[in-house]
This record gives sequence, C-alpha cells and structure tokens, in this order.
Amino acid sequence: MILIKRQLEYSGLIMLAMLLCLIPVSGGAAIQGISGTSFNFTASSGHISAADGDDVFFWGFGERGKLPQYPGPTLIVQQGDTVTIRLNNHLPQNTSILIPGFKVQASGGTPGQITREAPAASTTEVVYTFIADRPGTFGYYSGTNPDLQVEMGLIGAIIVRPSGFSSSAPTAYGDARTAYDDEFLFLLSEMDPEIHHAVEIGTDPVPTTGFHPVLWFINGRNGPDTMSANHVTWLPNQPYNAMPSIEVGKRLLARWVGGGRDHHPFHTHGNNYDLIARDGYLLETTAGASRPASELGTVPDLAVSDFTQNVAPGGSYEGIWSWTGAELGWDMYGHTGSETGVCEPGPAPPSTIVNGFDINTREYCLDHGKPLPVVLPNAQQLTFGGFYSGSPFLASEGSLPPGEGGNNPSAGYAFMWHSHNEKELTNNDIFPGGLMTIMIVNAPDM
Amino acid sequence: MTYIYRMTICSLSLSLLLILGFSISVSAEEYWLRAAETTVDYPGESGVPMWGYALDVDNNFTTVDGTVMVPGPPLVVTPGNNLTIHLHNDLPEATSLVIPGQNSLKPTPVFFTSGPFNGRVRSFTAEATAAGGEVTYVYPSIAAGTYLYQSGTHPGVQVPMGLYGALSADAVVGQAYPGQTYAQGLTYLFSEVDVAQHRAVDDLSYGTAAYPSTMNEGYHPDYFLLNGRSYHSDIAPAVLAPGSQVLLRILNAGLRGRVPVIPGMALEVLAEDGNPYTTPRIQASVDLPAGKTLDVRFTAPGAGEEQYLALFDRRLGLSDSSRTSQGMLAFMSAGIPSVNLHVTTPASSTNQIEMSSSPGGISCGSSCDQAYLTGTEITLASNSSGNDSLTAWQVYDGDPGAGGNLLTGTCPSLGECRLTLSADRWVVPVFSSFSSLSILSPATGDALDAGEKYEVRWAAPATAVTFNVAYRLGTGSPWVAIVTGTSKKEVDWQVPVALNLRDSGQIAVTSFDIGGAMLETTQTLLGLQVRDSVTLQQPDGGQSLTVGSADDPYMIIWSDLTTSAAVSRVGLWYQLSVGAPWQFIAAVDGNQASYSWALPSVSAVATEVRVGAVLYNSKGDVLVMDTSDAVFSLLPGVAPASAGFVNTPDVATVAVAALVAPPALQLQGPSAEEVLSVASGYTILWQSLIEVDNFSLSYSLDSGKIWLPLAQNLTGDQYAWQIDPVLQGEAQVLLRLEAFDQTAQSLGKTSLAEPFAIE
Repeated sequence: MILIKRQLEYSGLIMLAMLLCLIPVSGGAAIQGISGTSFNFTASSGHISAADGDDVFFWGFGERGKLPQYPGPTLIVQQGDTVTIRLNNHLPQNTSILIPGFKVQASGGTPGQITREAPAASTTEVVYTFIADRPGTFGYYSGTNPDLQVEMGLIGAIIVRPSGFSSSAPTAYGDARTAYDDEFLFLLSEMDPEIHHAVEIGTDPVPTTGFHPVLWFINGRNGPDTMSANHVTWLPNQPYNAMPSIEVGKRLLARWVGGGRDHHPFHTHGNNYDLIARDGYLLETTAGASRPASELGTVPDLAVSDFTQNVAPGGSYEGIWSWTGAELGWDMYGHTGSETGVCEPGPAPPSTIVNGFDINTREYCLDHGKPLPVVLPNAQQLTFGGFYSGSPFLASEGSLPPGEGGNNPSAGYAFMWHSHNEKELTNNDIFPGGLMTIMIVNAPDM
Repeated sequence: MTYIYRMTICSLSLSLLLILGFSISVSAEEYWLRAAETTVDYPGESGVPMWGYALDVDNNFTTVDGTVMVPGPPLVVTPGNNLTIHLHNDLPEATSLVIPGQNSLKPTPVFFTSGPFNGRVRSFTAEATAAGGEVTYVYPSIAAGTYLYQSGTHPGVQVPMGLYGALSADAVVGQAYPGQTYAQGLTYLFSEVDVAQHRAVDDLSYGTAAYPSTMNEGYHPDYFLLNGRSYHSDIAPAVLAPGSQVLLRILNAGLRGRVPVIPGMALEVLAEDGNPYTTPRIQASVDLPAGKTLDVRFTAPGAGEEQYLALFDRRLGLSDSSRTSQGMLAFMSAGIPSVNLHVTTPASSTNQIEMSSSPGGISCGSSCDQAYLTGTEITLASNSSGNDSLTAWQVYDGDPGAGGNLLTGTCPSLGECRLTLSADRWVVPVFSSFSSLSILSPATGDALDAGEKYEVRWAAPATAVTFNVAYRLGTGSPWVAIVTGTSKKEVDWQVPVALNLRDSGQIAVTSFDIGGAMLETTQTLLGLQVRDSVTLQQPDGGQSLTVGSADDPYMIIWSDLTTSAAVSRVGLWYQLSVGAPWQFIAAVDGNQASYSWALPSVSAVATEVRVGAVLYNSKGDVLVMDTSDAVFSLLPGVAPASAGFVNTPDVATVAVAALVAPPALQLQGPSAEEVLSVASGYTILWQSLIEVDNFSLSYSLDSGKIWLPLAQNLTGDQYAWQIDPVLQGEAQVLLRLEAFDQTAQSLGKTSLAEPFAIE
C-alpha cells in the first residue's frame, strides 16, 4: 500500500518537473530574432509539427545554411540602418520577399509579377535593400503567388528599434508615451493542411480558392506548443514561442502582426491595452501629443483603449498593456494590514506610497489589508486548472492535490490571451489548441 | 490558355478610363440605368451569367440601348445637387436601387404580401417590377464622398450577380472632402464571382439543394475582381504623374473583406463610407470589409524615383483555381512611360504572347503595344494551342519592316524572353506549325554540362495532349524518366552530375492522345560533358597561419558550382602532414562557398598541412573534391584559439558529423545499372587526395576474383577506354584503380562497389 502511494507521489513530482522544464519562468523576455544589417536567407521546404500530432509540409525562409523555419527569422534592426536581405531559393517555384512598410530596392534574380524573384532550385540570389527609416513592427512575406506561398509559410516579421534605443529604458518610438518594460511579438497565422499536402505530392496547379484553415498559430506554433520554451529541440522548424509574462505594475508592449490571410481578433484577458500604432504610424494628432494611458504612464493622444485587437492580414499593431490590480477590492498579496514597511502613508520618507501604489510590492494601497471577499470552498469541492498555484494571492502557493497545477511555478496571475474567433482555439477540431497562450502577471522580484 | 473578355468598345473604354483615372466627361445629375442579364467570360469559364446595369445612350427607355456592364457605369455628381436615377428592369425578378450612405432619399420598403415570406421586406426601397418595370429615385441632396450603389432587392442574390457600381461626389473640384486636395483620382471596386451561384440563379436551381443559399457554406468565389476583371497581363498600368497626390476611391461590392496594400506607399485614409475623419489615419494597408468604401490618398514617387507600384489584396483574393489569372491585382506607373514595346501579332489566334512579369500591359493577340518606364526589365512568355509552337524570338531595335536591326543573341531561350527596355523594341515571335512531334531544344549534337539545368522544349500537333520525357546517358544505358504525363511542352532538366564524358546521351519525348494512346516518339542525340566543378581557392599552399592570431579564424574559400542544387553538403577536412589521417572541420550547406575555420590547436609547427573540400549529393555520395594545391603551415599560438568567436553548431551540422572521411582515391566509373556499349567507348575518371606518381587501371570479369591489366603508368585524372569488342556480353565487370609512388610502391587501391555490364 505504502509502496504504491510513493510511486504516485513520484510520478506526480516527475510530471511537475517535466512541466517546469517546459514552461519558461517569468521575466522580461526579449523578442527572439537576429540582429544586424545584412541577412542571407534561403527559401526551402520542411515539415512543422502541428499540436494535434500531425506533420505539415511547409515552405519557409531560413538563415543560409540552417533549417527553414516557420515563421521566418524575425529581424531586429535600428532606425536609419540600410538593411539588405539576400535570398536564394531551393523551392520548385520562384519566390520573393515583400516588405510593404518600406520602399524596397530589388536587384538580381529575375523579374517577377510583383517584385524581383529568386529563381526556383538555384543559387542565384535576389537582393532586397531598404532604409529602415521609421521604427515599429512590420511584416514581410512572399510576393510570388502570395495566395499559395503565404499559406505555405513564407512569412516573417521585422522590428525596427527607434534611434537612440537603449535596452535598459526601451521605447517603441523614442519617447515616454511608447516606453515599456517588456515586449512580445505575436505573429498570427493559419493553415489549411490540404493545400500543403497537394504541394507536397507535386500537384500542379494547386488551387487555393477552397482555402479552409483548421490550424491556427501564434509565432508559428499551435497552442499549447505556444507555451513551450523557445528553440525546443522537438520543434526544430518552429523556434519561437509565444509565452508573455510581466511583473505587476509594469508596461508590456504587444506587437501584433497579421501573417496569414485571415483576420484574427486577439483578446487580452485581464485588462484593456492602449493601441498606440498601426503599421509603424503612431496614433497621434500631432507629433508628441499624449494622453494618460488606461493604466500606467502616457500614450499617444489618439491611442485606443480596447480589449480585442482585430489583426488584419498584412497589418501590424502595437499596444501597451499593464495589470496593476487597482480597485480589485481586496489585497492581492493577502496582507492583513499589520505589515510594516508596506503601504506606509505619510509624507515621504518613511512613506512607501507613490501615486497610490507601494513602491516595492506595487500593490494598490487603498486595497491594502482588505480580505478576500469570499470563503474558498475546500479542495475537494474545486476543480483546478493547470495554472492555479493553490492560493488566490499573487506569488503565493497553496496546497494542491497531487498532479494538479504545475504550469505556474511563480504563482502569478494567469490570463488567457487568444483569438476571440473561438473556432480558432482548436487544432484540427480538437480543443484546446490553436491561437492561444497564457499571459502571466508576476509579483515584483524583491 | 486564352480567353476572350466580351465587352463592346464603348464599355471597354469606359472601364479603361476608370482604370487610367481620367475624369469622366459625363457629370450629369440624371442617369438612366437599365438592369438586365448579360454573360461574361472569365479565364477558364465562358458565358458566366451576370446581372448588370447599362447606361442608356439616349436618355430614355423607348429603345433598348447601352451595353450591360459589371460593375455598372460610374455615377459622378456634384455634392448638394440632386441626383435623379431612372431605373428600367429587364431582369426576371423585381429590383430596386439603394445607395448606402446617401440619406437624403428616405427608403420606402416593399413587403411580401403573400407566400412564405408574407410580411417581410422584399426590397429596401421602391421597386421596378420584373420584365419591364420602371422606377425613379430622386435624391434631393447628394453628400460628398465615395459610395456603392447596388440592388436593394434580394441582395444575397442580386448584388453578387453584379448589380453594383460606384458613385463619387467631390466636395469641390479637386477636393474629395473640404480641404482634402488631390490631383488624380482612381477607382478600385473589389468584387467576386462564385460561378456555381451564377449558373444556379440563371437556371433557376438557386434555393434548391443544388445551391441552397449565398448565406451558408456554399458561397465559394472562384474569381476575384478589380473593376470587374481578374488581373491578366493585357491590363495596362494606370499612369501617375510623379510626385502627385493620388486619390484612390476603394469600394467592396463583394461578400468578403479585403485588405488593399501598395507595398512601399504610405496610405492616408481620409474617410470611410463618405464620412471624413477628423484626423486621417496613415497605414500601410487599409481595412475594407464587405460593403465598405474608403477614400485613400497617397503621394506618387517623385521625379527621379520613377517605378511601378503594385496594388493587391492582402487577404489574397488572387489566383483563380486554374491559376491563369491573378485576381485583385493592379499596377500603376509612377512616372510617364517613354519607351515603347511592340509585339507583332501572331498570325494565328491560337498563339498568344503574354507579359509574365510586372507591370503587364502586353497580351498579344489583344494588346500588342505598350509604353514603359525607361529601364524596366520585363519577361514575355508564349502560349500556343493547335499545331503551333514558338521556334524563335526575334528582337529588333527598330521597326523590322523599316530597317530595324535584329539584335542577335537577345532572347536565345524559347521559354521566356527577358528584355531590359532602355529603348524602343520590336519583338517578332516566330511560330511554326508541327505536324509531327519534334524536340526544339536542346538541339541535336548540343553539348550539355553535367549538373546544369536546361529547359527541354518540344512541339507537337494538337492531337498530342500529354507527354513523357526521358533521358539516357548512352546507348545501352537504361532510360530514366524526367517527367511523365505532362500537358506542358517544356520541362526543366537537371543534367545528372555524370562524372564521365559521354557523347551519346539522348533525350526522348513520347506523345499521347486524349485517350492515353501513344502517338509518336522522337529522340535527340546529345553530348554530356563532365565538369571539374570545385576548386579549393584558399588555403592553396604557402600560407603561414598562427593559431589564435589575426589569421584565426581563417576563411576557407572554394569555388561555387553553378548549379549546386546537385550538391547537398560540402565536407571540409584538414591533415597536418602528408599521409596523416584527415580530420573533420565542418560540413556546410551545399550552396555556401566559404567557411570560417577556427584553427585547431597544434603543439608544434606543422609544415605540411592541407585542406580538402569534398562535395556530397543528398544521398551522401562523393561528387567531386579538391585539396590545397600545395602544403601550408600552422604555427602554435599563445592566446586561446578564436577568443570571442563562437562557431555555433546548428542542427544541420550536427546531423552530418558522421560523414565518412574522404577516401585517398576516388574512382569514378559506370554505376551499377549502367550498360556500356562497345561501340561508344567510355572515359574513366579518378581523383586523389594524396600525392601520387602514377596510376594503373585493371578490370575484372568475375566481380573481383581475378584482375586483368587495362592500362599502366597513367598520369592525370582520366583514361579514355576503347572497350575491346571481345568484352561484349560481359555482365559482371569491375574496374580497379591503383596508385604508385616514384619507387613503384603501391599507395593504395580502390575499385568500383558494384559491377556493370557491356553489350
């Protein structure tokens, strides 16, 4: 009897350990990508892993000498840089790159229908050059047979840092209205595997008028693979994850790019965001005009506060999102109010309150010490999600039955960020999956 | 594939005027429109039933005139004025006309009074009854902006059938809205056609199980249209004056959202649905849901930046299912075109010359002359049906009938003709009729380079519908298929990296009729050349490299193969002294030509170092290799090697770490399935990574038990073997190579892995 119980405990621990390895711990994650001014790409074919277990044949851009990836490499460049992308092509048809946000000079290769192309199955390069003259988030994608090649996976994103960018005090556009503490890229797309299969078996021509997607992706992965770490070895062609997290009271910059051909309504549970720019153009009446943000700091004056962003194909968007717990009505740390050094009123020092928040715990001091307004049922009357830490309080863990929880080792607050077109939360009709991930709000590292 | 877009000159030129952006001379406040049936041909679908509007020519409905068009004629009105529309209905059901957003005429809905929809709305406003009914709408005051006019009756059927058009009203001449100026206006109306829906409406099966409803999953557009056309290369680019402010009136009469984009341009959205924004929005692409109108302004590139712009739907309403037209795509010339391209119309209408690159404008047969911006590089392609095939492109610098000079060497390939239009050009495509199957290229006796890609083209009479193409490396060798069952008359062929000289290679084409029965077969005799296709350029001898110094890492460079698609991987090796084992450096992707080598630590000076580059195909076979021409030196360094340089092995490199060390000797002879012919001889090749004085060759007739001498004292890397006729019929032949130093000591042997046959 005892032996069996121990085995159960060990297996629970092992599962927890496995999950802990997979879920990255909180902290400001940078945008995964490659920096520089000169990039060599090859377009080639491979397979990606869909989260229903299927392998899907795809065409992707990859760094020369490396595997093709979905999405293509995210490029991170500086405002004012002259950026060069050299592309050659191992695919059976010509391909190309369009970067609609910039004026691009194309040379080499062969003349194509929309832009110059890299010829099929050849080492001949086509060269694209542009000046990254304005900061922001931008998409790139094939300009050859785009209805087929965008579907097949020839898409990617470019981030342009503003002049004078500093990674210790980052901004999206160079001033406090667009300042942030962490940033994440959400490149949204979808696939119809039947089109991919037709290409894989050599059908020619492949019609796309019957496009019917059943797989949806953030940064090239279906949920829940979106929540695994970057560069996991078992997703060699899908290096990027989509697992945002931020500390309470900080500003997060969300960069959305419509990579496929469908619109996706991206919903940010937990709070509104302020949409500050579209396609690299700030939403402002005049340069520098600002208004207070929904939550913290300021944003450009025409910023729109919303909770669902309609991400159009080819469009790129930036939003500032924060979570402070203001006006929750109860103390999110479970404080009793008798703690010293927390939410101390009075003129500074020893006051720890600035703008209504404690400078260390960043809690909303008007709610300091207020109890949880409900009595939690006991554990046997609850069902648990994988992100429950066992306690309703931030950064607190409570006891959980064996095998429960485990996805939230920092005991943050978990909010699902997902496409609000609910059909898109499936992998080939299997729920949950698709265009979804979890945003975790953590207590400050103290 | 050719298709005919059936429109009269009158309506065609109206549409062209719309596309080219010239203002319509008619700016009346009273229009007579006749709603009627018509048919339109789309690429691959002819006679698709459509419902459209005709602009009555003589402003009364007593005579039936005007050509039915889809979209309907553009209506241009002065804001504040009233607009009167007389509608005459020749359709088989009642119809009406609404202009969403023009609110000065209150709609007067018409209701069903019997039947299953009793009491529900039949038309949003007053109707013209079926088969001859008429109604007049008077809008007392038109608002400025861009608006869709469309049917207000049974809209799920009548609007997709084609009852839509654009109405525009500028606030003031030259201003779309007060204060919003522009110099040139273009209208882009997006729409779709689901052919099955149109045929069902026409044959009265719409609403039955054959096509239940537009509203459910059945709606499936096949064609994506801009101003009524799916992009085809006969559509000339609109011309924009450099630096001018261009106003795009964008409307969506289809049932699905669209996202127009012009790569490189900043689009300023001035208004939605005729409602101007307080602050215009600047975006790279604009949001156009079904039924939406947008007024979008951008500044055309200025003088000195002349270029072509592409406008297309980023929601990708592009190719139709046969991929012969490109849907919601249009081109604009930012700059006045000044170079003329003339294509001579092919004598037979079954032959067509298309421009397959941007910006279009040539589809000859119908559009054979077009002006372009200086320096534009374009591609022309030919399409033939019937018995004809293109046999030459003739390109002239002047009118061929008036002393123009033939530019020899321009467009030598029969596939595409690529031209840079720096001056006027005349292109005369030469077609010939073929009553029997004929290989056009490569020509008999052509010598092709192994590893290169060639375009095989053939011609056949119209009875030949599908083709098989195959090659063999010599008479007696087995045929290898290149493509089977193709309906095209061309295929790209990657000549195998044949490592031996052949002069009797062949290509064969076989044709089949529509029932699959074989018609004819023909062959052409070719020479296939071997290529010494890799040279290690550095280090090639004499260098003195110090580990950890500025020499480190050292760039190994080798010459590129022209078509390294045959090369999958390049293995790099080094040896520290002559005869020492080769040490692996790295394996790199086949299309790289250099590698940054972190020099290995050496404890003492090594003076006989060589680097070797070995090229492998995707099966792991060695193709060719080369080593440093002479030895170089490695000197031990003081600092750690390559401080700060991280050579991150990626997945691809790790996967091939198990590459076999290159052999000292590599013999290249016939492969296992090859059959040599006594008549044609054979050239045996070999390569070595060691220093050798001379080689010998021997052969075995019993798979290697007994070896007989073939040739001795060979220097160089090849031997032209005149096969002794007495060997004819031997089926288990092996070859062996042995290398010797100056003292006749054997340095090693290698033989072929599998036997071949001689017949």
